[in-house]
Amino acid sequence: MSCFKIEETEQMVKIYFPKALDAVVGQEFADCAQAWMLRPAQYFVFELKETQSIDREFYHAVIHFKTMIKKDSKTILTTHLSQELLKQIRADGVEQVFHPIADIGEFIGGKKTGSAKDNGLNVEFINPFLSATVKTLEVQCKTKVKALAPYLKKAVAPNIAIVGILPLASNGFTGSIVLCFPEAVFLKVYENMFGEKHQTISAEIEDAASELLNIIYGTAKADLNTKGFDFKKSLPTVLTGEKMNIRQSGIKPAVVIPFETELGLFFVEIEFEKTGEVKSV
Amino acid sequence: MFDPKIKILVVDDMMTMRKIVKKTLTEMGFSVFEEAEDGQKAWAKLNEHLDIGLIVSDWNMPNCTGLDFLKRVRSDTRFRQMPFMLLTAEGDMAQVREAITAGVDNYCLKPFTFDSLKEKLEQVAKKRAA
Repeated sequence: MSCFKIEETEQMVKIYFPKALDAVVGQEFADCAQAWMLRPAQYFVFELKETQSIDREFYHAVIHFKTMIKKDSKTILTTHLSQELLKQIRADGVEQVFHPIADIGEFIGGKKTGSAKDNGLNVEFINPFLSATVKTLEVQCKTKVKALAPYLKKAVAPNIAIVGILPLASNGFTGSIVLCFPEAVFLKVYENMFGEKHQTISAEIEDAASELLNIIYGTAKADLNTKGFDFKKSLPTVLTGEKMNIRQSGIKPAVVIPFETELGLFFVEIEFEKTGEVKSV
Repeated sequence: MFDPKIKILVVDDMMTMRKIVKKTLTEMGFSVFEEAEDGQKAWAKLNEHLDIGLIVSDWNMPNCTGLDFLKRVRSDTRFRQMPFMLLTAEGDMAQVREAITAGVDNYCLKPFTFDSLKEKLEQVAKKRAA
């Protein structure tokens, strides 16, 4: 019988670890990991509240697991790691493998980190972007997507490799909308659009990200302007790289809308600051 | 519908959208295309390839917008009857009215499906055949 208890949601597989993580547990972890990897969840959350010791031999299984799931843009997050064990994994150079975090809600739309409403952005404002994103991906990219609950950005989404940024300005507001994709997810979106497989992000792929953002913005803008906003034309910028993080300039944190696809999550970040009164809204 | 052998000028500043439009038109049976990145380059292409029989143009482009390009096309007697369709991500009615006044045959909202683009093109073909 496995010594790992797991809990599973659409977004994450939470794995409860036993007291002592040694080579034997590492082998058992490796055996179970074969099945876990097939799960659609984006995150593997290691719950270590019971764990008191981690032998170096155990690292191998986790490193191998991390390597395997990285191909699918999936991520390990570790919670409730004791200070002592945190020091140990830092000293052993494997902190990035375990990716310890204080609050999984920071990554997975958690309620603890605050809701989009707390940022002054109401549903009336966010919904046009949400529906424009779903419509654009489904109609133009033939990619089925599901919008998940928006949350306030407190941390970087994992493995973002391509980012489209579009500055926004309307009467009474200034801000930006950012489209963030892990590489594997966007390459699949591109494949769905044109039936072409690409292994890496090229100028052609960057152009596609830019155009998708244009369409999303144009669609949302048309909707919002009927509600009294006055959004102007705006040009997107696309950036690529490994594990990108976009830090918005506003005082308030961005609202993140995660979207689920067959290959994992992508994110739309909206940051807005009120600069005056909005007319007729 | 238009003759599948017709030469179509696809105008958009984004390579991806030109590719999407061409792919969709290819699926409809068309196979001869010219491309341009903005209204200025489209105007040059139009004068260079006088056998172009249909224009599908984006609206928002740098240098010369789709609307400016349309006005230029309609101001030239050689192209006054040229079928011209605009693509836009914004269904702003004031803009649409301006385009209709300028002589656009039809417009299609992005994102578009195969069926929606085909339907719009059929409307243009019918209008031009009448």
